[in-house]
This record gives sequence, structure tokens and C-alpha cells, in this order.
Amino acid sequence: MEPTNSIRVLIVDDHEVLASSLAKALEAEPDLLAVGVAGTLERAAALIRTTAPDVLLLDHRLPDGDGVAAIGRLRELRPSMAIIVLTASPSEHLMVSAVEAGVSGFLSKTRSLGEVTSAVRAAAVGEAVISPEMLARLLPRLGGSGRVGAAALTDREREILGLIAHGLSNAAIAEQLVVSVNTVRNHVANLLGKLGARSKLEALSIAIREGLLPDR
Amino acid sequence: MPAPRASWGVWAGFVLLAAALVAFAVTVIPGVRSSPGFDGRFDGWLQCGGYVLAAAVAMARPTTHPARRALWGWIAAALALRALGFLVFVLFVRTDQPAAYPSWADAAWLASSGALLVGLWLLSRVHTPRRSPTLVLDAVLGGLTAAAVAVSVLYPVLASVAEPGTPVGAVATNLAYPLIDVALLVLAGGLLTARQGRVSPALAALSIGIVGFAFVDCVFLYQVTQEIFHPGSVLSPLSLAATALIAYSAWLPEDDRARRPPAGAIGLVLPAGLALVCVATILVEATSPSPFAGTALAAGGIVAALLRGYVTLTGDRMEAREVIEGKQLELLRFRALVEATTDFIAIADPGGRLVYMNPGGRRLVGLDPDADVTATQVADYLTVDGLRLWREVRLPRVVAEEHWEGESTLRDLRGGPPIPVAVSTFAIRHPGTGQPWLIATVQKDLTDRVAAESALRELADQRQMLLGHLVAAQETERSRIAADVHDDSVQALAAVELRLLALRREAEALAPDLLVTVDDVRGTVANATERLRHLLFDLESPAKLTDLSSALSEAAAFVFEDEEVRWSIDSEPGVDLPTETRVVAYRIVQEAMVNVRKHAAASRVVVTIRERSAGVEIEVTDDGRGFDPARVDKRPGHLGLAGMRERAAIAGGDLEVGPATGGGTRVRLWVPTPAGAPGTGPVSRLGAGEGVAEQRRRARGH
Repeated sequence: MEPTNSIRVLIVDDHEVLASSLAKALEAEPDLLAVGVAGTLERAAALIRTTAPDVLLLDHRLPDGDGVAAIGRLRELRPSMAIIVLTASPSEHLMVSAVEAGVSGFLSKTRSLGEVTSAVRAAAVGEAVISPEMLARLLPRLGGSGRVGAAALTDREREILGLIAHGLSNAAIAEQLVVSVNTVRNHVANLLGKLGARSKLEALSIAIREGLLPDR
Repeated sequence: MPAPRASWGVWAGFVLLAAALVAFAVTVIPGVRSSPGFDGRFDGWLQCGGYVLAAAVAMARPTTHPARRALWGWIAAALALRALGFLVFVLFVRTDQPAAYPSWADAAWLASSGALLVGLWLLSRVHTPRRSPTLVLDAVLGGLTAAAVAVSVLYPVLASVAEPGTPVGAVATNLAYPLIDVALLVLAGGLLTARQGRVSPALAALSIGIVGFAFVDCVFLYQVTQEIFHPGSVLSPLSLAATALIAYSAWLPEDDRARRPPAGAIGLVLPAGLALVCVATILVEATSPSPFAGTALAAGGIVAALLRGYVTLTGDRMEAREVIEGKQLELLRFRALVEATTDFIAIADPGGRLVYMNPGGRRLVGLDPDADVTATQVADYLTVDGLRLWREVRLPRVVAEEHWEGESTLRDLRGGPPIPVAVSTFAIRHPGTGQPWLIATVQKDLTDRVAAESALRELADQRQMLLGHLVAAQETERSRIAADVHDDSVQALAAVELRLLALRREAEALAPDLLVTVDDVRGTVANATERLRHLLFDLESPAKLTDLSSALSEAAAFVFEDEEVRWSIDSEPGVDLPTETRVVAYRIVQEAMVNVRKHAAASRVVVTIRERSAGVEIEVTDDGRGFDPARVDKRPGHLGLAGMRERAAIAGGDLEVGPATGGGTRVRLWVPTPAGAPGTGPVSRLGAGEGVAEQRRRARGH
């Protein structure tokens, strides 16, 4: 995923004050662009078609449906879109289903909304957006439902997978392995392709299920 | 009764009396009287002294001991009169020549014997055991024998007394003595016989004394009439000795225990002996002239002996009949008992054929009171279930262990519903051979109890349902509130935070001295947000959406996230609860965890989830300070210990809070899974029915 001039962000949240505050926070950044605010999933679907966002900020509780459940549908409209789920009380079961639906990560409304700008940027380049504690709690839970198996991974890919499991970003992984960030990105892309995952988190989920991670 | 305690004065008296007796006896030895230095008055004074001493010693008893005062009083009086008689005789009468009949001495002596008679009569009343025909006959026999013997012995004496020419007064006086003596002998004889010779020492001494008197008087009379009497014969010491013995008897043990004479034929020995004596007396009288009275008395004695024998022998049969009648009465009572009770009582032979069924049982099953049950079988009275129970459980158990208790159902022969009964079935052994003989059963109608039980169960189910609804309503309400809070309050505060960030950036650029204020406000907002987070945690229930262990680990993650506590969830795989119960269990365990965080100061918390006793057991164990039940949390919206227990009960389970091994606290919650719910009846399974209470007891490990 290549960053364009601005990262286009669509906000899907039915709380007007919060949505407008989010939009304002994004607009204060030069490289981010809030392309719209939707209060319902329907409106969100419509706006996705018309505004072509790169990142979707999605509240998991919407008047016309469960945001997490709708993730699959929304992805189909624009597969290259990264989705960040906004939630007030991240519960594990919610996170698990979201991960399996292919989200890039989570933002807690009560804790980490201040990081929304960096979160958006990270999601735009394919990073996982999740706090380390959340990741630690999440990992044991992943690998529940049945999905298609993964092709054989190379050692390098496995290594990178393990580092992703530790919560490292692409840049950090590159530093760790002493390679260029682009190399890491390529590996990650291959990884996602082999595992059939749409996001790093999903890749982690599949890897755990398939037992591909080194001891966990 | 043991011997009355004699004071030292009494003992002194006895010693003196013995001395006097010995001295007097010495004077009787031939040759002593005629030796020089023997004052004739010695004789008189020694005798008097002896009698007075005897009287004094005897008198001491009724005066110092309250027991049987009247009796011993009379006997003491008798001895006193005797002493008086001797005094008078020695002082006045002896010197009178010729002797006046009756003299004052005679009066005193006769009165003495009369008093002795009264005393003996009182003694007989005291010592006679409870009356029975045998005893009365024994006494009569003894008396008659004594009288017959006395008369025949005394007759020659009496004959000489009644010689013509003797003054009437003399005759009367001389006759009075033997008559009274005979009366004494009769009484004594009867008493001794009635007790079959088993007499107390007191009575024995008295009797010997009396016999002694009679003997002395007889011989004396004989000697007087034959005019061969002289003082200094052996009679006098004998008389004194007899008196002394009577005095001594007051101080001997009296046996109060009424001893039954030996029953049956053994007791006939003495009466038989006495009868023989009577026969001998008659024979003697036949060979010498004797009054008709003597023969008559002897004959009467024989008759009494015969009667006694008859009574004894028939008495045995009467006794036996009494015993049988007693047993019959017992049988009649038991029969009445069995026939009056409303319980079902039946007896069958080992083959299952009925032998008897009581009226109460017939009424219960609807059998005609007069119907013949011996044509029926046990199976005819049992329902299908009851019959199966009988064949598979009851009969084998009764054969093996000789009894079985439990519940079953009887068939209602009138066509009504089956009758639930509490059953006690047992084997009866033949009283003679001891071999297994019959099988009996006593059964109690349980219809009322069963109806009451099912009404109770229904009420319990209804209550359970209502409580379940209550809990569900509470959870729904909480979820609704949580949703509102989530939807509105949390997001509002998040928006405020975002705006404050924007403000901060502007302040950084334009008004740096306001940065502190802005951060201050941000701190307040963060605080408020945190409180809302906690509220959301309290209100929401992940247990509605995921399985038990996931929900609990979410709860633990939240509760302990900022604490230095290591927590772990240890769950048996696949253990879960139905949603309603899971929600309740979640709330309780959540509260327990909050308690740990607040009070325990623990470093490690372990939550275990296990399947146990048709339910799920969840334990929260910490290694902290230990639990003080007094410090119970009563924050509004929080359950507290009582609330936790109530919730557990609503779910049909129970809660235990106590110390953990090695310090710390262990909270143990058990809730049943639906298969263990109440609702099974008493007879749907063989053996006793089970309810939730049973399960709970087993869950506690009993």
C-alpha cells in the first residue's frame, strides 16, 4: 500500500459529537483527510462507494447493525481499505471476531483515542493497530473458527510472523532483522497472501490456528 | 433390718445378766446349796436380780429405738411383769404357807404370758408375708399340731390337777398356765410353719424362749401337783435362761424381707412332717387316756395338711392357667392392634401367596373386608412399577438381609390411581424351628405426602422461574443502561478529549502558559472516563455472548489490569453453562474477583472451572490476607456476600467462602446444569427419588 497525498479516512460513528471531534482531529493533520461521516452502516456503504477511503474508522455499535459483523460486507466494497474498529470496552470476543473479519486493529474510545492520527497512518501502511496488552490478551484466543489452511511459509516469513506477534511494526522488524523496510513489507505482503489474510492481525489469527507460530 | 445398736449400758446389763445366770446355775449344782455359807436368800435375790435385769435390758429397746416400738414394748412389759411376779413371790408369797391361789405373783406371771401373747401376735402380723391360701393353711396346720401335741402331753398333768378335792382357785390357776402356754405355742408354731422355718434371729430367739417357758411351766406344774417341787432344781435357771433369751431377742436382727415359701412340691415337706406328728399324736392318744379335744386337734391338723397339699398341687395348675390366660390376653391385644390400625399390614408365604391382610389394608386397596385373600398373590396388589420393584429389589433383599424399607406403589382395586406407600417388608422366622417362615409387610399410605411434595416442588419451580425472570430483567436493564452509557457518555467524553487535544496544540502555539490548565482539564476528563469504564464493566455482561471461561478471563483482565496480581483461568475444556446460569455465575465470580482486588492484597489469583456433580464448580483462590466476613462490601450496585449467596441460590446452586490452604481466601461457587434440575417423582426410579438437595449435598463432597 502506497501512501498517496493524503490518507482518506471515513468515520462511521453515530455519536455526532464524537464523530465531528474525530474529524476535526484528523483535519488538523496535513496528511490526513476526513472524507466523510456516516452514522449508519447503510450510509457508510454509500460513502465508501463515493469517497473511496483508505482507512475506515468503524464504531462497533451502530443503529442499524453490529459494526464488526458488517466488516466483511464493507470490505467487499473496497478490499484495499484498512479498517480500524472503535470501541469503548474492548472485549476479547469482539476482538476475535473482528480480527477474523480482517480488521487492521482497534482503538479504545476510553483510552487511546488520542492516538487516532498515528493509528490511521499505521493502518494506511498495513500495520497492526493494537496496544501490546490487547495483543497479549488476544493471541491466546485466536485461531478459533475453521478457515482455509496456509501454504508452507519460509523461515524468514515465519520469523517475521513471530515478530509481528510481539507487536513490532514494520520499521521495528526491519531494524531487528537488519534489512530494509521495503523488504519487510514485501515479506509481509507474501505472508498475507499465503495465509489468505487481509490484515496482519488476521494473519496472526490464522497462523496461531495453524500452529505456525514458534511456541505460544 | 440389722440388729439395733445396743448402747454400752445395755451391754453392761447383758453381762450382769449372764453373770447372774451363771451364778444361779452354779447354785443349782447338787451340793452347793447344802454347803455352809449359802444363804437361802441368795436363791431368791439372784433370781429376782436376773429377772429384773432381763426386764431392764428388754425395756431398753422400745425406749431407745423407734422401730416396732409397740411390739417390743409388749414383750418388755411381759418380762417386766415376770420380774414383778418373782419379786412379789420372793418377798411375800414364798413365806406365805400354804400358797394362796391365785396369788399376786400368779397374777403377774399370767399377765406376763398374756403380754407375751400380744407381742407375738404383733410380731406375726409384721412378719407374715403376703397372704396366700398356702400360708394360711400352713399356719393353721402348725397351730393345730402344736395344740394337739401340747394337749396330749399336758393331759396327764391336767388330769392330776383336776383331782377332786383341790380348791377351785388352785385348779383354775394351775390350768391357766398351760392354756396360755398352748396359745403361745400355737402362735409360735403357726408363725414358724408359715415361714417354712426361715425366721430371723429375733423370731428364732423368741420362739425358743417361749418353748422354754412352756416346757418349764409344764414340768413345774407337774412337779407341783406331784408335790415334788423344790427350789434349787434345774428348772429355775432354765426359766431364767429362757427369759434372758427373750430379752436378748430384742437386740437381734429382724429380717423384714418377706420370703416366699418354696413353691410347688418342695414346700410340702414341712406340712407333711407336721401331718406325721399329728398322726403320731393320735396314735399315742389312742394308747393312753386322753381327752377328745386332743384327738380332734390332731385330726384337724391332718385335715389342714391334706388341704395344704391339695392347694399346692392345684395351685400349680391354677398358676399355669393364669399364665395362659395372660398370654391369651396379650395375643388378643396384638390382634386388636393389627385390626384397628389404618396402616396396611399383610403376610404372605415365601411363594407369594397371601396369608393375611388386615382391615386397614383391605380398605386402602379397596378389597372387600370379607374377601378371602388366601386365593390371591402379592403380584395382584402391585402396580407394574411396584411389581418390578418387588421382583428386582424387595424380594431378593428380604431374602438376603431379612428386611427392606423404601417406597412403592399399590394398585387400587377400585380402579383409582396407584397408591404411593412407604413400605417396610421383613421376614418372619418360625418361633419353633427358627426357619424362615413368612414374609410380612407394613405399609403407610403416602398419597397426602406425595401430593404435598409435588405441590412444594411446583412452588419451588415457580419461584425458580420468577427469580430467573428477575435476574434476566436485571441483566437486561443493566445491558440497556450500559448501552446508553456507551452510546452517549463515553463517546461524549471521548469527543471532549479529542477537542482538548486540539486545544492543547493551539495553546502550545499561541498561549503556552495555558498548557498546564489544559492538561489539568484533560486529567479530569481522563478520570471521568476511567470511572465510566468501570461502570461499563460492572453493567455489561460478556457472559451473554461468549462461553464461561472467556467471559471470566475478560473479567479478570479488567479487574486486575492495573494491579500487581498474576491471575490465571484454569478451565476444564468444554465446560460451560446455559446462558441464564452463566450470566448469574459471571456476576458472582466478577464480584468475588473485585473483592480480591479490594481486600485481599494478593499476589496471585487462580480461577478454576470444573465440572462436578451434574453442575459446574468455579473457585476463586487468592494468596492474600484472608477473608473477614465482617468487612463486607456494600457499595450500591454491588452484590456483597449476601447478594452473591442469593444469586447462587437463585441459580439452584450454593456458595462457600472460606480460608484457602496456605493462607488467603477461597470462594467456591457451584451451580447445576439443567439435567440436575428438580422434578423427578418418588417412584420413577428404583429406590428413593433424588432432588436438588441431594445433588447439592453430593456437590459438597458428602
